[in-house]
Amino acid sequence: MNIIVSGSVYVALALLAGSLLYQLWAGARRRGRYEPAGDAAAGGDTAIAADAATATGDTAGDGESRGLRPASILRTAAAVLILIHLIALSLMRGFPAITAQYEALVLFAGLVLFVVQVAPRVRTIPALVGVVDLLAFLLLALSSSPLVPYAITPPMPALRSGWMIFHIVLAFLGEAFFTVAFGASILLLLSKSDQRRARLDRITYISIAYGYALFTLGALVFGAIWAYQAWGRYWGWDPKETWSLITWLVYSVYLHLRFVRKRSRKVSAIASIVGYLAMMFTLFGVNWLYASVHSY
Amino acid sequence: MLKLLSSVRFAIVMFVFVAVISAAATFLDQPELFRSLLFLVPAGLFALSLLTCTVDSLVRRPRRPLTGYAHDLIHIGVLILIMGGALTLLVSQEDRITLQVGERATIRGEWEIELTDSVRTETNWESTLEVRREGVTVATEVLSVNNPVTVGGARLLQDTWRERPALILENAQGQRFAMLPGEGLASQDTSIMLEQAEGAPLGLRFARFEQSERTGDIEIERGMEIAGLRVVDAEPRVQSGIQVVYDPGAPVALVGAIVLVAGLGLYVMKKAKEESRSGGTTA
Repeated sequence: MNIIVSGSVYVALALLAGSLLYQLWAGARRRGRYEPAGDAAAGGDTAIAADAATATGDTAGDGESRGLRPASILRTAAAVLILIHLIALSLMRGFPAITAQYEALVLFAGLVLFVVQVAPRVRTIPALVGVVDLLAFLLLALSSSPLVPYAITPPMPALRSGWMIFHIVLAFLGEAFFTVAFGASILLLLSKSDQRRARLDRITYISIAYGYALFTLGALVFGAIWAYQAWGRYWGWDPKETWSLITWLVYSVYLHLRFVRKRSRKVSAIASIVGYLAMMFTLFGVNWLYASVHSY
Repeated sequence: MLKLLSSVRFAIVMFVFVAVISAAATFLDQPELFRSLLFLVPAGLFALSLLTCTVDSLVRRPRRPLTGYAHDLIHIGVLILIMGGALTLLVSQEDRITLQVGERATIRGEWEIELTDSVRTETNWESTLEVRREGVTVATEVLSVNNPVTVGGARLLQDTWRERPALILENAQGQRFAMLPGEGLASQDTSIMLEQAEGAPLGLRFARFEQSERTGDIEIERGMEIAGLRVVDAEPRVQSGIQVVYDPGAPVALVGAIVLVAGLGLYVMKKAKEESRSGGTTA
């Protein structure tokens, strides 16, 4: 049973790798077809270049409908397998398997794949789908690496709370939207077409808008309610809490930058990237650097 | 001045400032920075900026569709949260007590709790408390992790739980009492302290100290005499660690969180509407 359960993550990794390889192949095929019209020479931006060559507006040029459906099927299969894996782990532990670092990373990777499928406009830009899929692949690979301990152990009493489930799931769902925004921001900085930058800017904005609401609700509000129930204080300046606040502040900066006249898309994209780096530090750096009530 | 405080640029500067100080406090491992003026002054300015910005927005555009109030509600929610945080910082009190079954503690002057039972279940630690006021039992409460109990306005939380062997001693008059690891006896320059010892007959031994220097161990057996006391047996004793928290800022912060969530809900509705209007939804 244990081998089957742990093996399912490796199968999900293989499916995701297959999806990425298919996207690379499809991108190369499109580049061959559209290269003269796009700025394929920009390097690493070939799928976007092909996309821009055909795109007439925000909804035009849906990558999925232009031959990326097999990649989408592989991605969906990987997400479903991750879900089954977490459900099986939860049944073995007798509690939702989201509290240990390994489980949290697997959940995060699964939610990133889910968000790619549902987030507005994302699948209109194949390169963005590729970048975000790659990030999900790296998260899943990291979860299965020796860097992250794997053991099916029952959670300590403080973690057995309904608030904690909402806290973790919603925080990671918000962070999955931030992952999409991060991918779009990276591509925006690499892109040379103004039209493409506008589309990527819009995707970054809408992903951060949804991610911000979910992150605030999950990480900060439900986290505070859970802390109040478990430890009697809703905020304790624990390193993880502090870095969650810093992440929230950086994304607040991003959202407020949109109200500044003569806003630069590049500055906004940099703010989005800084926010994501702060989020990643909250997720990994704090666990490795500090003793925290969140280091389980 | 008001124009500066309500400007977006000023808000952005405050966000960055608070973020940088927070990061510095964690990197330098100086949590006391959060109670210093270096943090409290920009946090106060941030709250002032939020207040002026919200008042300005409500005065300038008092009537708009419901989703148009999203930003104001978010700002008001954060403001109430900051007020709750300030109240917590100024008046909250925290204390920790450790009780064995049968022991009592006073809570906020006029209330008293007695630990009547404490067990470790498969998934939790549970302590049964008898709550008294002016000597009269008013309630029996079961306290466990994630299920706090309120007594006299203070919240009691199950903090720690441990079971340790206690040494049962008897004096010449036949009175028995328990000694726990960490406790001991002293006479002039010599003292002995009880400690847990794996493999020892009763799981315990005495460490002997002379002028604060550890000079040796004393093995413990049933029936032996030490300092005029006879060792009867060892038996497990539970120590229930209970946290007592009085925080009038918490309900205020909760109201702030509810307003903030309402604002975020309206914000998401607004963005979803914008997206569906522009036809950008691919889901």
